[in-house]
Amino acid sequence: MRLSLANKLSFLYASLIYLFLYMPIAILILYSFNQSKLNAVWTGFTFDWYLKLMQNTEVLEAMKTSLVVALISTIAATMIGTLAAVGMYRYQFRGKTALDAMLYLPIVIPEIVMGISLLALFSQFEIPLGYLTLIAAHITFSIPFVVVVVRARMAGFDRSIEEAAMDLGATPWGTFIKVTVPIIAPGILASALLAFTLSIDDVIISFFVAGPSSSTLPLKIFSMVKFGVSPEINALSTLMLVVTLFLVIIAERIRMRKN
Amino acid sequence: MSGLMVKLQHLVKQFGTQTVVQDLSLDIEKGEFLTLLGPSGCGKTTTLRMIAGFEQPTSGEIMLDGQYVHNLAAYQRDVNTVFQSYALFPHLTAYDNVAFGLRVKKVPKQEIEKRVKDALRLVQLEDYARRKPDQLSGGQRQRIAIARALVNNPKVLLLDEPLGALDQKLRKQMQVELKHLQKQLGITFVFVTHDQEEALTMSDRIGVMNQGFLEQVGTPAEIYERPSTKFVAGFIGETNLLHGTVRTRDHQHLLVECEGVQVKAPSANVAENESVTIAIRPEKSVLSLEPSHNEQLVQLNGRLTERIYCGGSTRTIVTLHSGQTFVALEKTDQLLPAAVGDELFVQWQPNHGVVVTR
Ligand SMILES: Nc1ncnc2c1ncn2[C@@H]1O[C@H](COP(=O)(O)OP(=O)(O)OP(=O)(O)O)[C@@H](O)[C@H]1O
Ligand SMILES: [Mg+2]
Repeated sequence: MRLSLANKLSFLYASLIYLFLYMPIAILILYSFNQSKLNAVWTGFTFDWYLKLMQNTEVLEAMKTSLVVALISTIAATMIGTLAAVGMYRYQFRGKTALDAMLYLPIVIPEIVMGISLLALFSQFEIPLGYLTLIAAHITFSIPFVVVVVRARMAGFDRSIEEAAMDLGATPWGTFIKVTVPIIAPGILASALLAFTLSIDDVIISFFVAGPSSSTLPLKIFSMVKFGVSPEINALSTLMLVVTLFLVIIAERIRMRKN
Repeated sequence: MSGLMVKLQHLVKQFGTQTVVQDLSLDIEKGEFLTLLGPSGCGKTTTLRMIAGFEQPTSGEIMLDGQYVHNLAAYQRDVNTVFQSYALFPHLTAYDNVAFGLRVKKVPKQEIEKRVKDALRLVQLEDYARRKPDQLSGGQRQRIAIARALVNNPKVLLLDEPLGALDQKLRKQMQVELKHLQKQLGITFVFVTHDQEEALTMSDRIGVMNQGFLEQVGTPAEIYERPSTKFVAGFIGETNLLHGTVRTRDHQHLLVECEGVQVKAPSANVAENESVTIAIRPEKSVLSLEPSHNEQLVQLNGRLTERIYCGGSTRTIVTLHSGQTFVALEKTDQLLPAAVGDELFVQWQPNHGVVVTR
């Protein structure tokens, strides 16, 4: 089979796009297995950096903080955001359009502004910076994303299905649990995943609201990078990447099965 | 029939400034098959939704089995609905869809199993129990929706155009099956449709709705033979409407002047000089080439303008001298030997006309 010139060009074009997208990540992963301390020359394969990482208590501590914060804030944001999305879908009231828009607004507010204002808020009420403030901040910036994703899932939702459940004797709450949630579950799951990823890799807002004893993984990486990008950081980043990918794949599989 | 099942008293429903149901009062007997019939947008679904509890009436009262239900939510009412769109639960199998209501009511497991199986057998879908709704055909989904509602043994079953999405053949078949089911189970059916033929064949009584008003309630024969308003006469089946003014009346007949012609009509509760409309069904009229000398017949003449073949019968359209068109029905194998443009006479018995004033 011979390709025409146009076909060759579009093949080249597509290849370049993918190269552009994945080359940096590939290099990062590659050099996390490099024996040399320099990110410039390949001297041989090793797992050393990963082992070293596992002995670095500061990194482990940061990892734990990140996971705890991400887990709690994901659960809370998903619950709050889902209820908000369902409420906005279900009820009509005065001023709904404005309130609806205000739910999405935080998505476009610059993170640095969010970070500073949260910090201002916490100091106003004299809340000590730490786990609590981190979790509260992560919940705050995750909610709008959850609402967007769940709302998108609700768009094709037939209201009469809920009515059918109530017609058959289910209470409003029973209807929500037995009918609404299972039907929009893929959306809820996707939004939880999004919230988790957002939380895991947030730097700017966390930078403002994390206390001295509650550094998250990205913050830790950030401070390590100040002394140059070491293979240890490559290893850490690779691990983060693997975990995130793993979560995405699981969520995607659940979504496929539901459909 | 043993007493009242549903009583609607002066129901009014407004959405914003629009009044969708206007002062609707209706009594439905236990075990009755009552159909709400009317054109699209006349308020049928809204009426049904008020009975089910999905809409609160703006004013008026609803009684179910002797109990006022205005403060009962939908899930507390002993009524089940078959939705216009079926509204099956997409994430549950046919079996679980049907079992939903019983599980909610915490019916014992063995009993659920038995009743769901019976319900599925009733709609002849036992073999499809494990399928999800999107693996069922339209007709099968519809039957699952019926089974899901019926399995709860409701006092009243509300059906909102349940056959709307089916093809003609399946529709006819389901009409028979539904009617049969209803007789067999003795459940009160409130059935909504905009298909007048469906209403006529299935119902014990029909309520004809128009723009939120209940125009007439009666048996199919009453509605068809003695429509009480112009709207009902025109909506149910095909009909010819002649507008005129009452000239004289005696205890047996009216003489109505329609466009300069005197038309005899059966006596009705109207005054002289009142404007009335006479409705004549196409099949009640006879066409003839010669004028009849029978003084008792009503007779109008006009010209044949069109013949429309409808299988066994032919619709023949005659333009009267007044310019109005009149539709008559002929047997296709006994057509009058007349061609388009020929002069002919339309005749009928005076008491086959129906006088309506509204
Ligand atoms: N929730 C609502 N808000 C505002 N208007 C409504 C609402 N529901 C129905 N209406 C209006 O009420 C009128 C009657 O609607 P309804 O659904 O009862 O009609 P219908 O007789 O069932 O018609 P169809 O045969 O098309 O189903 C329509 O004009 C409709 O636009
Ligand atoms: Mg309707």
